[in-house]
Amino acid sequence: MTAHNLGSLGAVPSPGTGPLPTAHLQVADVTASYGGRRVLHGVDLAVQHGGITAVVGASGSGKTTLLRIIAGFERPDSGEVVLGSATVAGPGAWVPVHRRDIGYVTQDGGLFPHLTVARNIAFGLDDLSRADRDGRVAELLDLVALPREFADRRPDQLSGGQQQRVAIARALARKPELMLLDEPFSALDTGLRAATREAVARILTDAGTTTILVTHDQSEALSFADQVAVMRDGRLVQTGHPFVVYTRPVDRGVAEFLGEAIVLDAWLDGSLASCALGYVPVRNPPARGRVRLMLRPEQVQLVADSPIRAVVQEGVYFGAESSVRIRLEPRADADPRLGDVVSEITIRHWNAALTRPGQRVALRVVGEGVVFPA
Amino acid sequence: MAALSLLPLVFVVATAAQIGWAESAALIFRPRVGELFTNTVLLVAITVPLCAVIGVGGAWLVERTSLAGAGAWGAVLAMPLAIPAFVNSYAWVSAIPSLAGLGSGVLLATLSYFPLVYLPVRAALARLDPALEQAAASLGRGPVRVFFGTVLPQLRLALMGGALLVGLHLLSEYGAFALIRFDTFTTAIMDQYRSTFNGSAGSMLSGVLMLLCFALLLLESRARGRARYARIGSGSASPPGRIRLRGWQLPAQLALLALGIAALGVPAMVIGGWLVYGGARAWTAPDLVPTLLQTLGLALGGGLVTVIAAFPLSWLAVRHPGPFSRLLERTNYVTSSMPGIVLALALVTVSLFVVPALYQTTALLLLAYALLFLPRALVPLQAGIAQAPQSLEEAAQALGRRPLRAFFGVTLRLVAPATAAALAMVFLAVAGELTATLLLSPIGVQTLATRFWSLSSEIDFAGAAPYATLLILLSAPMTYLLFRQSTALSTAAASADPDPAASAPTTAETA
Repeated sequence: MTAHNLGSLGAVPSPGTGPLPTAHLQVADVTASYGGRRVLHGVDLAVQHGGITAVVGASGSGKTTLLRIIAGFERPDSGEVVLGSATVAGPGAWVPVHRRDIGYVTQDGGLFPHLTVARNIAFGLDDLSRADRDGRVAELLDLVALPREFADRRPDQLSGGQQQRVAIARALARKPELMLLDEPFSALDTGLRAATREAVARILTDAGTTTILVTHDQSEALSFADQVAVMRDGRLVQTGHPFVVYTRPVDRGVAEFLGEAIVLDAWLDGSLASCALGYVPVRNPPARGRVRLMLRPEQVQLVADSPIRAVVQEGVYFGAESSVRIRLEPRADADPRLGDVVSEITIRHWNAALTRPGQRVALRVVGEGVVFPA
Repeated sequence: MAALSLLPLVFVVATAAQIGWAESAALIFRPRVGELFTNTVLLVAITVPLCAVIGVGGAWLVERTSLAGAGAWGAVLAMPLAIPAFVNSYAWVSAIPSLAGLGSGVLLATLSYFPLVYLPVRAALARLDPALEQAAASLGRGPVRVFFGTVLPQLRLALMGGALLVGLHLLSEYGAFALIRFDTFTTAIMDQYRSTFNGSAGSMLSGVLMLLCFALLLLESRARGRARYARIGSGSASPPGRIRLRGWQLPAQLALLALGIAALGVPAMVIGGWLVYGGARAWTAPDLVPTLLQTLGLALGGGLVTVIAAFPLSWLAVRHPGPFSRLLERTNYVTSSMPGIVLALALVTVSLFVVPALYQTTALLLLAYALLFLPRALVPLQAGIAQAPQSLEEAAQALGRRPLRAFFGVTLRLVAPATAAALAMVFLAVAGELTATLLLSPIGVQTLATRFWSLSSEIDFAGAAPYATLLILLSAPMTYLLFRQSTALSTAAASADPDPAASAPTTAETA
């Protein structure tokens, strides 16, 4: 979670709000099949002007099909896609790919291997004069932070990250009104991935280009986008601001897909859940009964003293922080309705010295939890 | 095209139906056929294992031992492929006129065809993960047990593929065996056709020959099984260690030398001798140049027709894989594994009875070439189309190109080199084809192979020598290509990584 996203919390649309009138791209009740199997079941998605939406889901969830329908490479079985004021796909309406004003970048970049970098970037610029074209290529190389000398290189002379930048420059060249990114960073190695991602996000934000990013990497989705749409089995199960979907997932599946989750048996009484970590306030509407309580590992902190105690079972050192598996001790005031629960949870901590097996620790929960039906 | 490729089968069945079951049975179950059957089966049963032993042994010596001059021997072992079997046979028979029978057939066929095993096995050996051998050695296996227990099973696919090729060549070869008067089904079918023009007897022999081909295909697919041997895990393979030959160095060198002399030395010396004997007169024979030009023309035509037919098939197989495209592909591989003589006979009969206007036309000959050599075009074309992924065409569309322009500007442009390679493969194959050309060539049309054949059949060995030389020169490029493919793996891996320095600006920019 970056400071940028936290800072813009004021603009969080509350979950359940329908498409805003300013939506630039509107996907309405789209269904699609592939090889006789239904892969999209009534997908609705609205993306605002200049917004960056990440569609995130496991492989096979249908996210790439959705992107390809928006691009125009596939036709939906039903439903419609509206871009700006034009229906580009829908009953009786079809705009082919080359007439939709889109940019499209895939995982491998898809650079034409027989053309130089300059001719790749200028591929969509037939209308410009040669001088204008050269100027635009130079401008775009600057924009994606590649040296202008690269113009005469061939794609196979570039590293993966550089190829991806050229692909983005090529897609930006025609100033598309909608940029579609299909896992464009996943072929890059870790360090390069974060750097390229940040650079691309900056370029797209500066250009004010409406963008859809498809990814299976939840941290990429959360850090890149101002709207995250979680896809599962061909359905969008939750759409909202990254902070909202991360802290208020609609179900346990979404919770665990978007990050590590601690899930405990709990007894809910109004807005307070009683569990092995004591009483935890929850965001859900008040209710009573047996539930499952979800917390993020970073919500469980080590403190000097607390009635909640645990013994470290195992610590795995990752450098900046350790992942620590701890066994919670039964609480003296445990809720009898919960029965005899043995709880082991995994939290994260920066101090490796505190994570030796056998170490006794005291815990505290910060923030609110989310409950799901038991 | 796919329907056409079933023609030989239809032809045999139709003939059988026409002459009736009793007559067909009488033509099939007779002593002559039994004799041919014994000859053919013995030839395959002896030659294929011999080729396998020589091919695997040679590949192993070159790739995995401290054989002195391994690089040169590696090339020498591939070179017999450049000598068409009937040219090899001509060389031997003109040096030793008494050569005849099964033993000579086995000798000549082995010398001509062992590279068909050697090349794929060597490629597989080079690709093997030496970590498996090292693991076996670390578990206490000696070099011999490592070879038979660990290496050989992994070579099975390549070995089976090569052995199948040898078997199919043995079944379809005409010239090499006719020259030494060794009768197989193929030579008998040709004799039958030549002497009596007896369609039904010839087509029943064809039927038996086709069954033998099916049996080979079936045997190979059964032996190959469902096993797949792939490297598990990632990372680049470390180069394998080489076994030190020590005292075996000399026997190995002598064995390879003997093989090299028999497979290359004898043909080279004999053809060289005839060239010297024939002198300039043989080269200035009036029909040498026209024959060469006709050969090149037919080869180019056959190449074009085949590539044009192969393109949509390859396209379907790569872009729209499904039951239909797989069926097309399989039909095709089965047909092209049918001996040229069977196909040619079928085309002769069908054209005579159905489309007489086609009989003895260049068009029919080109059709035969296309049916015979389609797989040679399919392999490079499919690889080429796979390298022009649909995503590039889509990228062009997303950049505003109309679909048709995107196809022509990007996909066709990228497939061009593969198309040229496919054309070259078929061109070279047609240039050296003998059997189908003998049956189907229009009157007055001669190719290097058929002219060579008539000269050496007339025992004009000196007159045939220039043709033999040209045939070898024409098949040399293909042999070289195949040799390169089997050895190019290590060099390709080295050049695939982009210059690591190229990524420096990126990392600097992020700092």
